[in-house]
Amino acid sequence: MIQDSKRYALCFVPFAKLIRIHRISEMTNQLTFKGASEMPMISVSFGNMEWNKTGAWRAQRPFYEDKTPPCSAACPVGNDIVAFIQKITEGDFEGAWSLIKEENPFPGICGRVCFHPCESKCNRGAYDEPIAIHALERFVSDFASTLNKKIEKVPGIRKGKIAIIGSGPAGMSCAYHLAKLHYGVTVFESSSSAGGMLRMGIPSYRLPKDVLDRELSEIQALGVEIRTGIPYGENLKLDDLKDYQATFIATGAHRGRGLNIPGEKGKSGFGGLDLLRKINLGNRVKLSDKIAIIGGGNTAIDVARSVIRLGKKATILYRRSKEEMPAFEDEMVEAIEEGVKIRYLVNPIRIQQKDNMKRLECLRMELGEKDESGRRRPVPIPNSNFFIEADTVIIAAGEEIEVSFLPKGMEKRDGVVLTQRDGSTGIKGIFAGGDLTSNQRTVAHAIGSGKRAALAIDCYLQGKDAEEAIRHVLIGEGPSLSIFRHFHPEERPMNSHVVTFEELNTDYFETSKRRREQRGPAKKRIKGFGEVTSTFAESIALEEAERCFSCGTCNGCENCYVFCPDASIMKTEEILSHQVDYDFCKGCGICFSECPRGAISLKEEAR
Amino acid sequence: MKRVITGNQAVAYGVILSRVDVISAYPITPQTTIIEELSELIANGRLNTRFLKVESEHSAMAALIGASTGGVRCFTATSSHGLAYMHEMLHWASGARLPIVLVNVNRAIAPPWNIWSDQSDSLSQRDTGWIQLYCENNQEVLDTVLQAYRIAESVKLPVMVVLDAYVLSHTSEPVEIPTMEEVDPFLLPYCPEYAIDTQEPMAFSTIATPEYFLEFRYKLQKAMEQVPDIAKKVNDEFRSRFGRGYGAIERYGKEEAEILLMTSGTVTSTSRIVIHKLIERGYSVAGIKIKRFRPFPSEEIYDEIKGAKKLAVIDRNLSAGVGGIFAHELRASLYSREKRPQVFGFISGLGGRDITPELIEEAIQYTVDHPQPEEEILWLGLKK
Repeated sequence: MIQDSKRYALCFVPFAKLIRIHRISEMTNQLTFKGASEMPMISVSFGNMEWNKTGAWRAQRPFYEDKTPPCSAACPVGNDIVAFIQKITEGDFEGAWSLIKEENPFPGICGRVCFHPCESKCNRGAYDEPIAIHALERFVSDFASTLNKKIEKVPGIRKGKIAIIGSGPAGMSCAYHLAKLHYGVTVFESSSSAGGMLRMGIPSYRLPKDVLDRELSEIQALGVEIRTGIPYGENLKLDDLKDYQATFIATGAHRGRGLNIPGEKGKSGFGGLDLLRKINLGNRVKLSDKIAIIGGGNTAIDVARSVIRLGKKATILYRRSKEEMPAFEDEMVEAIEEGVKIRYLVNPIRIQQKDNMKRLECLRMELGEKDESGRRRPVPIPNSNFFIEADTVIIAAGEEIEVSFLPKGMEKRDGVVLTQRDGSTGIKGIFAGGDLTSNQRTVAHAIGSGKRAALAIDCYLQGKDAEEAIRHVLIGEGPSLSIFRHFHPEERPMNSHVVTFEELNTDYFETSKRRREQRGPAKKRIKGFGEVTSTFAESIALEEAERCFSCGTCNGCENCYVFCPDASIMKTEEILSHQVDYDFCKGCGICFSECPRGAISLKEEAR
Repeated sequence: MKRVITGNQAVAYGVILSRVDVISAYPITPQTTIIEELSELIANGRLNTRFLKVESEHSAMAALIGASTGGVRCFTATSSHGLAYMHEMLHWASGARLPIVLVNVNRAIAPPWNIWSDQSDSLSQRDTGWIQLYCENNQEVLDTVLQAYRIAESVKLPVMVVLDAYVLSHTSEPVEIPTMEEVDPFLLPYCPEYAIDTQEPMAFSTIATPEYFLEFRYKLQKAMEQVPDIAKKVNDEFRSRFGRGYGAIERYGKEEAEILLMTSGTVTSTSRIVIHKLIERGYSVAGIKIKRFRPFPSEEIYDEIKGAKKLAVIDRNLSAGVGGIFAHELRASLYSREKRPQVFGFISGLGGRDITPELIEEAIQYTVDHPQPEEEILWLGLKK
């Protein structure tokens, strides 16, 4: 029967309907009848039921209320992730960029090097795979750069002068937000070029220098002055900054931590950061062939992968096992692809010089009880001593802050400068942030702390309570905050409740695979310092953005409108008005339970 | 054009040619292939009809009630338990005077579990206010779907078109399929008397107090009473356009016969052969095929009895506690007549057992041999 196509083709011919429907006005508008002959065929109410205000039956009241998505709550920067992904789905990439830029001057950088805790908390992870948020952020930034987008400077009266020490992610984030708030900002940088750890510590195969330069120049375009080659403590003292109403110190943690083992201070040994700095500044680095790297963090991986790119052999020695390694998973995978060897449960106890070679005496380790970091403590296996030979030993066992130049009156604890939640130090008008003040040494945490300090400095200079201001704009329980919401409290309000997976109605979602950034073959990658991964194509970005559950944020899916049995969900010109017609809403809660993303709340009706 | 198609395909052709606007259905054997054919055509974009997926037959009918109230032509198909599940909504469709057409493929109702032909499902719905039309072959199936819309939309009552499971639903026969150009002038677009108008909202099927409820039911009955005339006119027009037609009943066999045999559905085809043979052997016998069960064709049947003394009825259904439903209704319709034949009520073929020529002959022979039935229910082919 199906083959009979000719016959069915006839069915497509539009069929002019000759319907004549009786209008109400034509019908007998009668309430009483003498008998059947007068009566209509069926019982019809010629009026409607609007007189029956069924809202009076309501015991619980639904209302629209956006809540905090877990991604944003987990983002140390405080990006409004759901909102910018929403813009991507609408094809408004510039809008997405503007939204990110409200909170974060560095989407191109974060999209590449952030450890994306947002994705670890993504509710979609409990369903299939988390959204590739970092890749979307990167896409948005790169898209905007093709249009040469710049943050527009809003005209305003200059409020004051602020000094910032350190041009890393914390300092520049603080500078960015202060400049937007009409402060004159001068950034002092000890090196010859700006960027701090972004420039010195991160290899360009992960973060190309043009991306860094692009985002730094956008900040400079807002009027921020960067003065390089001025090391704080040497050429610059606190007293020199008296003209400035406030100072933000974010000098980072650049001093390689030693191992405290015999022989480590010998010849042809490098600190991991020293090596990365040299490579990043384009200095010639002379290395021998066989290199041992001690440590298990990202610096160790960065060093190993850089060394491989310089044509050498790299072996990482780590005293715990793979599970405890603090380096990011993806980086480790890529490093191993590129030929980096990792030896786990190995602890060097002595470095000896033997002719031109280094000889590392090591102990084998096993894992014991958990330590305060929650990782299992490595315990030496007695008499397991063995030797590893290498031409060069590079120590990448963590970084420390430089304390010698810090002003008196700054309290230090656990190896960091102690600050209040608003970044204020014990000294009036002096704020601090970034790696200097935290052991959570990530780019994202640094950017977040710079933003927080900008808000605090503004409050300080305007005579407002910074702590109070921060409390109002925390995302979820904090610690990250939204500076946008501080200045636009009416726009995009959000309940601090963080939406859980259980609160979603996943019946409305289909499973789909997470889109991944392409990366070139390892053989090709190690030939240079070109970027390893590539930015999403527009179509892939759209597909990935479509996967977002939009937790806690209405995206206009209209499930509520479709399912409301009382037609009480209101719409204006085809768009949900996010209002409920309480004259008729009976409070059945169907809108609440059918909302896929928890953007509707229900509360008991007060009588 | 003639094609060899199954009964279920004949239904699908009927629906396509009727330019149905909305279909909603839930799968159940042996109906499923009807909806499969139609939904596939819709999915492939070859049939301009809206298909509503639902989670049950109750919802399927409810959806059509909504669609029909919106003023469009609607269709569904079901069987057995599916029809039983629709029961409440069947009342609603007729009470709301909606001309929905439903095809029911007769199937027994469990337990014991059974998927074969048995009229108990459709006859269980005899009091729901639906017109019921039973079909004998696949050609009649297609033609009856077309006629059903005409009748339904004329009297504003829903119509159930009924065919036997497997014997028709899954058996292929040659069927003449009319063209759209031929059907269009016969079946004009549906023109509802009342329909939802979002510009002037009103409430349908609102409450009717005891003061008026009786009158609404009176009007429903009056609509049913119009059916014989309207169905006849529709069939006459159909015959003139397509060269074939079907009365509410059809008498065949001897002009003047002492014994009549009343059957419905496919049993009629077998009976035609048996009666033909028996006449050759000298029996005074004729057959009555009953096509329309609701409204019951009392007048038409009485007109065809023409002095016959005995009337045997073969029922492929059972109303436990009474017997065969056709026989039961027939007795009731004859009671007020002065001259009425003795009714022999046979029950046979339940749950799809074949009603063979031998069994039919046995029923006629019994009727010939007995002045009156020895029992109210005569079990044909029962293994005691």
